[in-house]
Amino acid sequence: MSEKRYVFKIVVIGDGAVGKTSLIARFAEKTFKSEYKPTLGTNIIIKELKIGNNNIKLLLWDIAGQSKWQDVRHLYYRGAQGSIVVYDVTRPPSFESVPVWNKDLLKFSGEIPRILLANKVDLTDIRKIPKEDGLKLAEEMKAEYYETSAKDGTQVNEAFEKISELILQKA
Amino acid sequence: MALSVDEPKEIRMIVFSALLTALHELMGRDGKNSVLRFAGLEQYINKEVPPSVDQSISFGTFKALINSMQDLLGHGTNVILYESGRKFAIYLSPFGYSLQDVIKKLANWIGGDWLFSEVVKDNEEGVVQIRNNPVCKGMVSTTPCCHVISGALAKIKEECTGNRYIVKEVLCEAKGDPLCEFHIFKQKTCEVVEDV
Repeated sequence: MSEKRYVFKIVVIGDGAVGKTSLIARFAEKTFKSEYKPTLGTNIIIKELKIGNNNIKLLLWDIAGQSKWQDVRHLYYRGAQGSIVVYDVTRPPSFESVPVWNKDLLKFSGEIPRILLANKVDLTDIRKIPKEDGLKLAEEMKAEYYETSAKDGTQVNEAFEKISELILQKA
Repeated sequence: MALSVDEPKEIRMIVFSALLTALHELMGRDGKNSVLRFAGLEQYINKEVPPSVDQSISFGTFKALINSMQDLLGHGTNVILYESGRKFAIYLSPFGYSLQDVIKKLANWIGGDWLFSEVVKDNEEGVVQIRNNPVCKGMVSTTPCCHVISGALAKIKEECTGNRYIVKEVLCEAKGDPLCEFHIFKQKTCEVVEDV
């Protein structure tokens, strides 16, 4: 069977400091930095992936979580084919704002495949949001659910590969 | 790569500077740097580029930036490029100049043969044609792709009239047409600019 080439735009969204940049760095560069540097606007990272006979170029849009970018954020959602919504399991407000992010995304991107990521699961001692709550929210969003740690790499590749597969199914 | 006879060798620095400033405003510092990195223009990351009409950059540098914008920001949508064009216009030319005046400047700073024709037809107010358009030079597309120019023309027209405009590119050299052609429409008050 001949090889096919695709380019997918995936937007990674969620509150500031939930670990969006770290997740992308872990997936794309296999690195982790513990210092926090807020993203200004959007950072676009390219990662090549092969699924079966499909060569996929992912344009990963790491979108700033801070409210100062609210006015232009809707532009960044345009043309997205998939999304990863991230929250921090140690910070309940980041979980509570997931529906807001999801609603905003749907308004400008339509019903695209989505994955909900419960990040920082390595911080077991200070975890506040149980898995059951995350699964319930993912179900409400019609999204897949993964528990990840950008720090130790838990489920990070799996989540990015899954969103790519979901987009591929629709392509 | 050899330049063709009608390809400009240089672009005025003010054009490059205005594009970078527009990107910075719309995409943030990290967004602008992503575009520069993808273009292979890392030397311009976190570097001040003066809006000079005397200094120039190579056509290759300008094209690398435009191509990177098209590939990264234009995937799946043209709204981001269009909005970049609107911001670009703000930094390119002081407000209040007529479209004809700015077009003359653009022809001088970017190259290409520009022609503006006034039209009075329903809500259409003008047509801009560009032959040898440096923006889409070398590109191949099935649809018109000079969204940065469309956005810029809309903003320039708005600044000199106070009305809102939408610009649609109907012919494009990138899709094999003999020239690029942009139609300028007065925007109805409730109209929302979607993918144009």
